[in-house]
Amino acid sequence: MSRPDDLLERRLEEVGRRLELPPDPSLASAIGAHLRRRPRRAPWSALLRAPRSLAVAGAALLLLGGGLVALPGVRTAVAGWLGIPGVRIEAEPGRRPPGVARAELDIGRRVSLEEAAAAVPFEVLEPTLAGLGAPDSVFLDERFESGRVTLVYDAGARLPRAAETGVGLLLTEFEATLDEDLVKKLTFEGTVVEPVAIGDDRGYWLGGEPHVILYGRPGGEVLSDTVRLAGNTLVWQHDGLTLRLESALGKRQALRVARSVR
Amino acid sequence: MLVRRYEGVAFRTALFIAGDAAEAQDAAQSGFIKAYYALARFRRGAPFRPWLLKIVANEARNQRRAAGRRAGLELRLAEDRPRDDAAPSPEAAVLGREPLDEIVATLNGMADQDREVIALRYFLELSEAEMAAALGCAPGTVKSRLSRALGRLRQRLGEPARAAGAGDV
Repeated sequence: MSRPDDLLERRLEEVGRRLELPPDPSLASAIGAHLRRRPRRAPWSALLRAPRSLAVAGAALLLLGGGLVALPGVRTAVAGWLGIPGVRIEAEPGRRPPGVARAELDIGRRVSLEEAAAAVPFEVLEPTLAGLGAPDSVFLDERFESGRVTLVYDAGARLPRAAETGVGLLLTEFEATLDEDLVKKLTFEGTVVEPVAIGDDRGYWLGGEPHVILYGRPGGEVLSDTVRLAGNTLVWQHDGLTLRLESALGKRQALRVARSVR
Repeated sequence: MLVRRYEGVAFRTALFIAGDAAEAQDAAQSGFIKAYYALARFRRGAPFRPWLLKIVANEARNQRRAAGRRAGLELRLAEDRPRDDAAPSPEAAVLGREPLDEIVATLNGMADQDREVIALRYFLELSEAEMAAALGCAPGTVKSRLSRALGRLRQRLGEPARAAGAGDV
């Protein structure tokens, strides 16, 4: 930027040079401590040993640089690509670093079910389990090429409140191809990842310790505001649609809800 | 060495938005951690600094909101450093202490929105793209916001308004 010839602007720059500010704290060591953990493979990771997470290791090296290259926990991270289109699950060894708080649910704008159905090229599916009733609200996120619909069921008599979302149940539906990473999940020590069957469909159950979830757009841009913790989650594919169900329900009950989705 | 390279600008960006050093430190730290998680998906070739500042600024805004406090970092000039050269240069006369004190006092009485945009531009010397990222607005909006903030500052300082566009970056 060129040097302003305006006196006030020059004075403002001089104010900036002379401001009394608190010294910059050194963040590198604190951040390193968050991310540096004992290396320990998640038990299921042996099954998924093939593609190592060069991306995550590279990210750590890039962020922390030469001084902190010895990050065994991060470098041995194992990537698991589980064959659910649009979803990538990566197991990070060690405990989840603190520092990812509960964030706002970033699920788009509130619409009616009819609006959502009209806006997306796929049929919006709903759980038909008796007692669950209709969703309390419906959200449409148009940052995804073919739209992403989320049905929200409030917590109440029929559903316990999930600490991570503040609601009873979220069911998110979107179309994705195999090579897109639209939803990424990072798991740490204490999160269980288990293959499950939902009728004829294949899926995965993530339970135990909350995991980190973040959203991206095709092309790789990360929606950085969407990083948040997620609790018990079921992801599966049905007729070209990727479905994601998040709630405080245990595996059996979550599977009952999932199997009733039509 | 991205943390070391950017921790200063990240902290100070958070400081002018959160208005508190401890909260700014937390915001910068969790911004870096979130960036770390998201980095594997970071679009290659896109500039890193605006992206990081956007995350950090969001964190700082959340901190400020959570604290339920009006931002308002109290600006203060450091004490004058003793100067070796005896004769003040014309530049030093123009940028003498008194007008700067007056500017600081005036800024302290202005709205956060105006102070933020002025701080990011003149104190942190962020680029337009970085300012837009940190303020969460379109790059085109940055110019007009800055120009309006400068206009209000001039008004309070009793300076005549300048021709339209003169305050642009």
